[in-house]
Amino acid sequence: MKILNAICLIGLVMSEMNFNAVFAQEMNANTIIEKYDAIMGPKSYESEFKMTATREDGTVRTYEMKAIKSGDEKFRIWFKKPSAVVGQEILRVGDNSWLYMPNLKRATRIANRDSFQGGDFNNADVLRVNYKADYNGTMKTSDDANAFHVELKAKNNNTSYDSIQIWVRKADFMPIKGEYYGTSGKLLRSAAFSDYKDFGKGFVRPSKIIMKNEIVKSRQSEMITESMKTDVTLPEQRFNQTDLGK
Amino acid sequence: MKYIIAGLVLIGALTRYDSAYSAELSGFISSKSDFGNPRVYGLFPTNRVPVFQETLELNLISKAQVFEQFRFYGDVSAFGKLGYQFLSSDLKGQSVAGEPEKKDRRSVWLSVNELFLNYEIVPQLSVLVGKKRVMWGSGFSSNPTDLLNPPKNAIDPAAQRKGSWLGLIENPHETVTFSALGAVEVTDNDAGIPEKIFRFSTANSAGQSKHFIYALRAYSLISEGDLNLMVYYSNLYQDTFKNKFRGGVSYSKYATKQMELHSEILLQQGSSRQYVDSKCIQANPLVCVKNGIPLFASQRLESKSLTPQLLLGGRFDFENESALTLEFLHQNDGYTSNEFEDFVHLMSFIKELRLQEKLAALTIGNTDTDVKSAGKMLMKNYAILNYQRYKFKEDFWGGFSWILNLQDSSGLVSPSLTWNPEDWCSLGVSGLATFSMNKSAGATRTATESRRTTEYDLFPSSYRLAFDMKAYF
Repeated sequence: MKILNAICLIGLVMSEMNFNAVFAQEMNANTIIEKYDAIMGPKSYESEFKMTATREDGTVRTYEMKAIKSGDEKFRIWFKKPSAVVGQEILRVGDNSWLYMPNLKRATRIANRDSFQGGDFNNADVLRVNYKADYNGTMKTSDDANAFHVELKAKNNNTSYDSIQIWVRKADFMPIKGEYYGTSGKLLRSAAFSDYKDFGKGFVRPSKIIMKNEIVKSRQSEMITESMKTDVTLPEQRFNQTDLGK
Repeated sequence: MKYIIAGLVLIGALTRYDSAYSAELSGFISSKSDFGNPRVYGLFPTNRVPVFQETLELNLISKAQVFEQFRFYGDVSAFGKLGYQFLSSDLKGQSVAGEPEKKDRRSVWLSVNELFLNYEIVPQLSVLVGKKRVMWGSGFSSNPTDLLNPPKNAIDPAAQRKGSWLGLIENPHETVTFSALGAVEVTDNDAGIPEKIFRFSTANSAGQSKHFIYALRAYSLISEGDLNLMVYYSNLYQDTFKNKFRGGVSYSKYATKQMELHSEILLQQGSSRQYVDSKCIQANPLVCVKNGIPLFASQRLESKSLTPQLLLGGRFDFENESALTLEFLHQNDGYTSNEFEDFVHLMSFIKELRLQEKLAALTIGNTDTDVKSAGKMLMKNYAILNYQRYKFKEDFWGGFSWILNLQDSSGLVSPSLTWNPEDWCSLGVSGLATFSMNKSAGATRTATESRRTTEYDLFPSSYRLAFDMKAYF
């Protein structure tokens, strides 16, 4: 009996190893990027999130926002806290982003690579999660047996990073960590994804991202997703520049 | 005033009501202490320009939404201002105590910056009624196509928040948005509350006049750039044009990853700008005045010649997230050097009469003595540079603006520094100073005087320094 159990166990292990090998071969980089995009930037959603930026001197600044996203190209944010930025809004349509300033009563174009509210995320990190459109992926050998490692290279020079390394869990494609490189090949930022949470109807994603500034080591920003509804119908007119400030 | 503030507070108090209704109340309280050097020897009167000034502002912004379609927005400020020490000059040109109006010493007023209701009848059709600042042009420091809003004021940035009373219909589509707008001018108000709109009787016009503007706009995101096409039809709205059509175009886009380019052009026939009667001012202005010939008037109001206003500019975003904006402004109807000289002679003539206390008895025309304090640009060509450095040190923001008149090399420089010690408050220092780089440029005040006056020598203060504190809630 013991021998039979041992044979069965060996068989199971062998079959799982075989499955993983086949799975890894079939799992190409583009599929992983698609899965990543679907988790980190679902097609449409309404979300509330909070960003806490820890600065060089150790002090922190916290921002609270409401965001909506429609398709791959449209994104809008309303700032709710702190009181000094209440009324500011950001709209992104495709590669174009505008910041509405209530003290000027007008919207001005902003660059995607600028930092998001002075933190360690840049505007594109928050406003545009569409790696499939912006980067070409290559599978890399992962140092973690339970994770896929994909290298992303920018398709053009409009992206905010020249290359990105991401690691996602093999089991469910949840992102674990990321590294973000500039044109000189220098590591600019590194991200740790954690606190995987079901936001409703089985939609699971990391609710916490810590983005470390690798240039100024004492700086980092933490993004907490407090709510995310993916089964929403969003009015298209909210993604029109004429809606800003209303 | 009290009803508006009470309404805003009520909406804020309902903030916690959820589901179909949402509301928020925010704002700030600020104090601005301002010290300046009135140009008592200049051509414009300085008796109303305080050396010291303290301005307090309580600003309330309320935003409410009922279901998805109905939105309310209010942005109202209550101001209190104290002015100390006013200077003027006497007949001998000596500095003496000025005689300001009572409101220059102490005044309280309400400013309704924006106050509107927006209703979306269907997703592709919304109606907005109330006061709103609608800005379609893409210029940064100047907007030639902006015929709707109160003009920008170099001395009072708060003026940039004020809109106009209007009705606006918008028809947004995936690739294009159409807007139709009608605005009326507030022709009289009491402490900021409109008392008369649309019609009023001026001293110069018999009976009632309608003051309005209609506008149509098409907006589209074309080639990753913002394109606006505008048509205006106005009657005595913020200028002296009657039943006038004007057209405008603006476009802006990021040409490279770091370089944004923008342009804005207003096309019109004629000009409402006022010019000095050259023959009169060079001969004997008093004779013209006595014969009822206006020395200063909108001489090209009915002209058929094209007088475009053009702004070209670009913004460069540096790696450290600072931004440098450089713009060129051309006002086709702006003064030539000769026209500016006539203007200076007129102002000199008026000053002389004022000192001799003979001015009140004469009708010169609208000399618009606040013309420089309101920040209006008189001449044809300007270069405007703006540099903003975000967070050059944690919580510190710096800025620098520079306006240069390309005809007489005079200008205005305005640095500013803001510190946010906490995320709910800010402390700022800002300054403003005029300069003339070419002493031989400009105009002489009289035919016999050799000293020259440039455009920015007309500014009522040679410099001002301000310290402000702001607490947000």
